[in-house]
Amino acid sequence: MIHDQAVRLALTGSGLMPADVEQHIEHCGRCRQEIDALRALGLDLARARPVLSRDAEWEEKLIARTVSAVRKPEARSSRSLPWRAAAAVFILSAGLTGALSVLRLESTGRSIQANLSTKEQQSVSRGLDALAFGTTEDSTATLLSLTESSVGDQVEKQSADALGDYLGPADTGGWNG
Amino acid sequence: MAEAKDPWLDDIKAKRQDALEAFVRAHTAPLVRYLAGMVRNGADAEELAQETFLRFATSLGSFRGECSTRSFLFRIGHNLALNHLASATVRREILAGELPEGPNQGRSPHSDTLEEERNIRLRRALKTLPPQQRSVVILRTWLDLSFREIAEVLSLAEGTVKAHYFFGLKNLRKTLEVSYDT
Repeated sequence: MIHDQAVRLALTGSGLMPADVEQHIEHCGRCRQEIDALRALGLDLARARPVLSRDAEWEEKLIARTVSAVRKPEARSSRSLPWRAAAAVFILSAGLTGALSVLRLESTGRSIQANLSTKEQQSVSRGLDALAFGTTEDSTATLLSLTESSVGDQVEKQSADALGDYLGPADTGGWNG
Repeated sequence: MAEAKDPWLDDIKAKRQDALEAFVRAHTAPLVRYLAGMVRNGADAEELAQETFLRFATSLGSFRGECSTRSFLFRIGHNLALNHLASATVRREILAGELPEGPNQGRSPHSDTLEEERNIRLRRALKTLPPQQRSVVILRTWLDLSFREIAEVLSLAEGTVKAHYFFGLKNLRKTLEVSYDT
């Protein structure tokens, strides 16, 4: 391992080497031979670098494209300002519409709650109590009965209203009796 | 540690056109040479060089001068070359046995001379090295970059770069011995 370390240091070091490594190289023919061979290979490689033919036209195009690419980001950012403003207005209006919809839903829910009869409100609280303290069967049965009665009442009321609209007061015993 | 000031940094950051032009002029040939050593042929190298300069130009705003402008340019080129090598088409071509060549392959009027033959063999051997070793050896021997600069380009520790150089040369020597024997 000392051979590799010594050769590596000799090839890549800035000249100053630890004394023990320097001593090793001095006495090791194998290391000296490898250092010489690798240094020669490095020089051969440098000589083997490809010689490029300069294409002036290509180079001018390259310069022009690079210079314009440096200037483009600035132009692009000033051009995109109206689009950014439009996007901001769109996002703001979408947010406002969403907020208004939520508010409207809330007020509808509150009016439904206000229209419930006292009996129905009591049933709801009974059902919720059963749900909290009683068995699952109790709470389910209470809420089911409440739902059935509420739905029944609603259907009855709506059917009567609808029938009244359709038949008119004469058919339902109105107007002239 | 006192370090030589990057002569390009201020003018290029200020986007002075004459400085940019001079920078591109000064670095085109070394960059194309480096890329030619990394990729399949001269045409690919020129294409990558164009892309490198464009990316360099568009990322100047985010460049904070943590390394020299030259290192920054070569780092972009190096990453593009690695991406290019990793692309499926290039991998297929290399696997199929088409050995990558340098840009002036077959162009030199003295290609029949012994020296030119030896150069071609060296460039071929260079392209059999793993990409990191190849990069280090090319940047060191073809472009005369210091180990410190190479470390900046490749985003590696200086010690790692030196190790890549040493093993790169050793591997090359082995490859060339085999090719000389056969």
